[in-house]
Amino acid sequence: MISLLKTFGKGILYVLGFPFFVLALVLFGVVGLFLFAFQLIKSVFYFFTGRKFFPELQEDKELRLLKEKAAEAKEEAETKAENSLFEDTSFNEVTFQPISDNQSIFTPISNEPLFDDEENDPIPQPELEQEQVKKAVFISDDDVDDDFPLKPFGSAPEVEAEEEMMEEEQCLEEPIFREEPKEEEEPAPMEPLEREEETIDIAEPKEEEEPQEELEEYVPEGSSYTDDIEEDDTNSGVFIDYDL
Amino acid sequence: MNLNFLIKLSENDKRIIIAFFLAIIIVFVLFGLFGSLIIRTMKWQGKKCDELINEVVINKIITTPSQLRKYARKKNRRCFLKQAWIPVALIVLGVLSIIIHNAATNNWSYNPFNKDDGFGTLLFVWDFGNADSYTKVFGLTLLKEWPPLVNTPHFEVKALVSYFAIPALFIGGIWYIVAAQSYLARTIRAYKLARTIFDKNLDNYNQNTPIQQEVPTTTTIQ
Repeated sequence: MISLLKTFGKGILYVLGFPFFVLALVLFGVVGLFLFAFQLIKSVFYFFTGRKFFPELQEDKELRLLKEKAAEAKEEAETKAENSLFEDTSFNEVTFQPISDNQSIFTPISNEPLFDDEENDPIPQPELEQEQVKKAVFISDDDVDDDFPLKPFGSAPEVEAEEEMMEEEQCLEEPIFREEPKEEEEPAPMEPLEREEETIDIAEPKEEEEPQEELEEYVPEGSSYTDDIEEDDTNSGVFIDYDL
Repeated sequence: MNLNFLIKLSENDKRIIIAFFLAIIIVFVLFGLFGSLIIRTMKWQGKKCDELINEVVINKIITTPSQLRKYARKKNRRCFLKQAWIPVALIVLGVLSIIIHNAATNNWSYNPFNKDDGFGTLLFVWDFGNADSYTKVFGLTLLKEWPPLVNTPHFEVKALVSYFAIPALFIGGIWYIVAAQSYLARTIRAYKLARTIFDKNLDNYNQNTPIQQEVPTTTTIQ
């Protein structure tokens, strides 16, 4: 009932305000028609000058620039994040420079080796004794220097080119013997196991076990060490002479 | 005070008076409902203004009420032109077709609604001008019976122009009125926003209440 009375009151107000609303509506309609006429003249002018019918407003231009800046900042942040994932501080610093047009992608930018910095090399190089020097691939034992330490990640030892050639020829001249692979004998086929049928006779009385004969000590044939072993020997047959 | 008049009212008269007041209440209630509907529609149409000026206001490119009103006026005008160009084109086409028809037939007094060669050929037409259908009741001229039917819907080749022009004018007119109402609604909304967005109101502010610190939210990436 109250809502009905409220609506009734609103109805009275709307009846009183309806003419003003219609007046405002007609006014906006007429203004709109004038706007159309004005815009039509402007659009003809814009068409022949190559401009858009609705040129960009100053505020829209500022907004567009702001969005472009934000997009650029976002892209830079993303590329920085991607590059930081691939950075490895254990290796020496290597600067990657953009390759110019005159430079081939297969030639290194700098001729210096990447990991030849003895002073700044973080990988430890233990000093090995002479006895622990391993043989290099193309170097014989006679050519190894007594004081030559082996560097696991260092540069290769300097070998003369002529010696290399000689060694290669020697390797080629030596016959390579290879044992022929033995023919594997095929294993004998397995015979099926014969199982005895288990039968349990409950009615039959149990048989008494026969007394077992005493077993003799086993002495292997042909061994002479047993003669020397004494009963008190606790060294498993090893003779230790303490007379110094 | 004519108390004698009130005492002399019969039951039938009282019923007529009660029915009359009920009819007035119903009419005003209907006006109230219709007006509420128009106001709700205009509020919904005004939200379009928020969409047009949203980014510029949020990014603080506009910082004063006058700037907002000026920018909103330009955007609303452009939106109105985009919405209303189709109905205006329909209205222009309808008017042009009637003008061309009048020029071709050399009849500038042509009525596009008449029942002989106008849009009336498609409608039921009753003769409300027939004097035999009316009577006088207490000095008032009222209908005593329904007027005779003069025209039933039929197709006329001569009325072809009105078959196109009248619907175009009717649809274009309604559509343009709705677009104008939308323009009015957005303008009202723009003026309201210019007042509320930059309003430095201290009604609910109390310096003694502690400022609630925002708890930082942690997001876990799974």
